Amino acid sequence: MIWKDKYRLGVVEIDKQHMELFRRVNDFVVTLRSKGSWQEKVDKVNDTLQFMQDYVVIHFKAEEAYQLKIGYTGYEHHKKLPDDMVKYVTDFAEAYENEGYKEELVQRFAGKLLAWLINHVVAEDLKIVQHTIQKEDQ
Amino acid sequence: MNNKILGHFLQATNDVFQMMFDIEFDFSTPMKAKSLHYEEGQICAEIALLGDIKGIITFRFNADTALDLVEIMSGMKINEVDEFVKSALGEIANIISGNALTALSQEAIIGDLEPPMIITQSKKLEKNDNVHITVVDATSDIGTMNFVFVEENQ
Repeated sequence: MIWKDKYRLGVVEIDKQHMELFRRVNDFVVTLRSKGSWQEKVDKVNDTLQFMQDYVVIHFKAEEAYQLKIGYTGYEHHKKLPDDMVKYVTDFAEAYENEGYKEELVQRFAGKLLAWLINHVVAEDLKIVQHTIQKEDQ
Repeated sequence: MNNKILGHFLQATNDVFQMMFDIEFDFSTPMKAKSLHYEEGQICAEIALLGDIKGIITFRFNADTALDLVEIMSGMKINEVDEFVKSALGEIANIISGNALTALSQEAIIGDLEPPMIITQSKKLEKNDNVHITVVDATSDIGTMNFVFVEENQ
């Protein structure tokens, strides 16, 4: 999972958070897809899960504050996306514990997380940049 | 599925693939089909549509295209279609469908989605009086995929 400069929004705090999300999710996916035993991977899985539960909330709050500051018209729609993701991560963490820490479940979680994060950064958040550019042009 | 609804799904597909993968599709003219056959070895992400639009949209990938897409996303070599790959493809189908529904809601067509179901086994559906099947092929640099829309009579 490769961070590209074109993903930068030009908002230092949010860019730093996106880079951190990419770094952590990439480490997680690399570990998960490596050849080691499941037992060797469990620590990384637990660590990532805890990180995601904490960090996505911090990140989305920072994004919401920025959107309100610039008067982003898509704020209400955008706000729903993180709510859905926070719920997904929380539900997954619960299922992971209840179903006995199964690898198959984590592989599924990682696939969704990968696609979701790329879309979140390249598609949803770049709309915010376009909004800012349009406002500056007016 | 009427052309307006279909158009929004195809537009959303192009937008998402362009943003996420730098890939652009050429779409065929929508074709009516009498039956639908998923072949083993294909990966089909099915999403049930509810509300003003009732039916199922399926994003059908061959295995090579599916693996290429997940390799682009992960930056890693991916050799087989496993739970990780299926889940990533399901999320892409979910993102595209969500975007299409957002666009449709601006035209007062209100719908909702069920979570994606991934099918890799053979499956057959015949057209009947209650459903209409439309197929659109999509070609790109990394291969072919297609869309199947199964629309229920309202």
